[in-house]
Amino acid sequence: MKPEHITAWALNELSPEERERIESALRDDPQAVRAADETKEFCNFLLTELRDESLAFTPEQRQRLQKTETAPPVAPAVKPVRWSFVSRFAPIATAAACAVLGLFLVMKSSEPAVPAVAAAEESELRYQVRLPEMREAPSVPAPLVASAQTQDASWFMRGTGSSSVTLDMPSLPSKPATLADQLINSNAGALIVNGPPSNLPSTVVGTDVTFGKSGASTLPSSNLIVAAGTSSLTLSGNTSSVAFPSPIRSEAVGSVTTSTTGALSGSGSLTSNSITLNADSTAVLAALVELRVNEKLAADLPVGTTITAIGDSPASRPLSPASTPPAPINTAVGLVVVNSGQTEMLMRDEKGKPESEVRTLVVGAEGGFLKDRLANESYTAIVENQLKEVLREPLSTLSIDVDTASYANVRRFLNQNTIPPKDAVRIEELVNYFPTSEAGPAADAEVPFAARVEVAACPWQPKHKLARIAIKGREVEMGSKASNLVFLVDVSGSMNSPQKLPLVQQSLRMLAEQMGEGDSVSMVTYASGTQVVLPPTNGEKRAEIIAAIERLRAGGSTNGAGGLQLAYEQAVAGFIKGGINRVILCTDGDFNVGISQPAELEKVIAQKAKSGVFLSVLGFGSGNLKDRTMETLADKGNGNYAYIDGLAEARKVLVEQMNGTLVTIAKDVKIQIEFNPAMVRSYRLIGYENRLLAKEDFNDDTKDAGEIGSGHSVVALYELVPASLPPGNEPHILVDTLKYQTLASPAPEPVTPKLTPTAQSDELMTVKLRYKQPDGDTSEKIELPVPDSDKPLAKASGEFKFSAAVAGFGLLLRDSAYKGGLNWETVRRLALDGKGSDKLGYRGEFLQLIDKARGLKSTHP
Amino acid sequence: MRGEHMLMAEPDTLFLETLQRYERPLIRYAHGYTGDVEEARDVVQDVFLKLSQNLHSLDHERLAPWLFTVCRNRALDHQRKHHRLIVMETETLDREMSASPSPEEALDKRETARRLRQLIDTLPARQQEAVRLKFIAELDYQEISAAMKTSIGNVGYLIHHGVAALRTKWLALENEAPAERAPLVAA
Repeated sequence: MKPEHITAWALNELSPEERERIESALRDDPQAVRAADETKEFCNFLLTELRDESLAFTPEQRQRLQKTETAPPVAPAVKPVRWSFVSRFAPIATAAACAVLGLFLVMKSSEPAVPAVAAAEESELRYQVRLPEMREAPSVPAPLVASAQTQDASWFMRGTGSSSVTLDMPSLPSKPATLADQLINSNAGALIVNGPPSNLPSTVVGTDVTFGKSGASTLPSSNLIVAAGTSSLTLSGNTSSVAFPSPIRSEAVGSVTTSTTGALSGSGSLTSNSITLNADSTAVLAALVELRVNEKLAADLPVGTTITAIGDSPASRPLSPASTPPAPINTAVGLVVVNSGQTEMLMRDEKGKPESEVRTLVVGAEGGFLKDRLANESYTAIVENQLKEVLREPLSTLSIDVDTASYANVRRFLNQNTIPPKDAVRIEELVNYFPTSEAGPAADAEVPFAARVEVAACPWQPKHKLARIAIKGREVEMGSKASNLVFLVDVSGSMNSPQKLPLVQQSLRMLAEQMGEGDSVSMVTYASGTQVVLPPTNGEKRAEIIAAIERLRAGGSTNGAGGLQLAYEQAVAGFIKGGINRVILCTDGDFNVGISQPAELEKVIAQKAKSGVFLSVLGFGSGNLKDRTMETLADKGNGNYAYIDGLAEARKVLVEQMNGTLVTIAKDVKIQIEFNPAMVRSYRLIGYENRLLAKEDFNDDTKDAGEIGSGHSVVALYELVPASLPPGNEPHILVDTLKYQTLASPAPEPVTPKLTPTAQSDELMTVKLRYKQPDGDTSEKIELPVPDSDKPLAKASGEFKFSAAVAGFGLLLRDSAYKGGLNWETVRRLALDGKGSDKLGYRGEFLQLIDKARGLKSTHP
Repeated sequence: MRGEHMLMAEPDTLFLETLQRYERPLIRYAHGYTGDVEEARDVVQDVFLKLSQNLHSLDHERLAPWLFTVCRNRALDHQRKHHRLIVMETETLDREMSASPSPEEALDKRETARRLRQLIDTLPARQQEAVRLKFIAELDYQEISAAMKTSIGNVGYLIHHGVAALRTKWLALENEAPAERAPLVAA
């Protein structure tokens, strides 16, 4: 009895006799019975779970099909042959004889099916990749066959996910080929593939194109493929798999350009493309493949995209046609397979080179490549806060920040095996990503949030202290407030990518599903123009809302400012007093038409924010992410900014933390800390670089600051240098002695101010908070004196440790000058200690990111 | 479920019966490739149109393998045409219309199905194919062997190992803190 039989039994795939046999065998073996039952249970579980009856035709589709006429009959049916499983393996001779017969019958019976299956595959034939055979193509150099095999291998590897593209090798036409009318091929020079979009698949599919020497060509209009180089180009229809077989002389440049309307671009994304560059093992390949779709999408190679290179030393160089805007460029060396989607790829060495020479590059992991890839993402430079001397600057003032986008963005990078750019790492957003388990304010408390401060030893500077100021907002049930939501969706061409618009649609659906009676949802889209695609609709009419979401399609340029205007108008028109009035902007942040200067947008949005409508910005996609624009919008528009890197994050932001995202409980929340010079020599605020306020701003109610949502956790961390430490331990910023005055510092040695009696207390500092009610205009202030503490790190609370771990993670990722003696192990240990119950799983995921970052940092210092 | 009851059917009836019998399994199966219900519908609609043209020339005993082979090829073509990701982990969930009255339950179920589909995606290609045909398309071993052009013994082998691997992975997933699931999505 083989284990297969048990599975077959569990699936009810045995004939009655076989079944009987198995069951009698099982009777004697309780252990096997249990195993069999477990298998059966699991099989049933799979069948039930995977049976999704909702996946069906629409009634219209079904009706149409039911009316379809069939062609006339009919070949006579062949008698079915029941498969005999067990007997094939039966040990007894007679049974074995039966088995042979059975097997024969099985094989026999499968024959009639073959033509049908073969017929079924006809459609596939159209997409076969054909590689020229070398002997009939003297102009094509020798290693072609090898490269064809390599090509085959790459497809094979790709096949873990999907590909059924097969390779055959018909002979190359001895004359330059003109295939399917549209292909012009010249062995002597440039290659032009030309055709209207509708013809492109048939044009390119199965086509061999060889071009010799060097050449360049451009195509006049939209749908075209341009290739130039010194070798052979093969394009397989819709997948646009491009192979450059070797040998490639010192330098070959091939470029493939497709445009949005061409069939190659299809939905406009390159996610299922495969680019294969083959080089002879002795040749240095410095090939450039530039895939440009809509100028931006090439950067959207899917998560896990892997480039594998076999070959000689790197010789990549940035190649960018001077006339075009900076486009993502993939440069690589050796044999490169850009493999879509699958990470399981193992590169076989086709050329018999030792394994050690097989290099696996992950997209973005190599310096030059990374830079190119990120060319279109923009981040505001972060200049880390410095250590400030208390005597000189006793006050530190900041606006709180509840954005979490940076964490999700960092996670995206790490999951793509890429170290995020430093400026993408905003430590406060990392820390604030994690909801804390601390209690909010008492139900009857006047202040809508609870604030607490904890001080313990600093993990990266053991002699320093770390102060953690934690604010926890009150939980407000969303159901208690009616909401007026306006979805503002960017449907410009740049959103046309699986990680963008489809994810937007799913995210909005999640949100829409939580709307109820009394809620109102409307939707505005913007691309080249703006449009109200869903007038204010009662939240109960979910089907209508979802249908509108499903109808969204991308295309065109991006007039973001116009869309904002219209969305705010909608929100104001449907304003619900005392309710949730919010515009939810879904975009990759690229506003390229209309007002696109951040400064101007800020003005527009700040003015809109006065209407009492709040803003949530949901960022999507990669490669074209205008992080800065989006953060600015949320910042100025009384809102929050979250980066949605996947469905899990959408669920966190829009379902699990929907209240926090949508319900504001306090606005313009500012923190000001006065340090006691008798206790603290200097301090450093960790993160919040773009949230610093002037000390005067604290009491100025006209100054905008951050909002706290329902249940939000906000943490600010300060590294404190105790006054008891001898000076000189921290870097000084020396300022020249003043020439014209002596009294007012700055001077190299600060004047010693008169200390108040309070300074002699054990107070380390006083934390002051200001906030306004969501609809209020005047702020309230609370003060929290913080006593000194010599608590060792080990005694600190779990939340303290976890915040410290996340901050440390950021410091290490940023290679901060202040990271001190911190290492990944410490970060990991702290995170583990502070993990707590972690009901939603965010912290467990963080632990894995630590390992990922640690691995990447160690291999790419 | 099996093909037998179609034996005597007239072509038109046969077509309708096939439509009725395989509509959902095919759409589910196509959905496994396209990750998008609309696209899955389009693909399967094509499959049935093709069936209507070829019904006379097909072995009626072998309709299922034929349907699923055509479907798979169409789905892959479609996918290539539309440059979709192969594994659309972010796509597969929440695309389906909710059939259940309780959104939460439906969500749970979809979540489970989504995770299972992701796990299936991690299997070796042949096992994946066999498991999909068995559990998503609900074909029997014989039909699978025809669709995959392999022996039934091999189908048994592939499914056994596929199921065993899935079970191990699923149990591992279940036993982990919910936190540990996230990388499944990310990996």
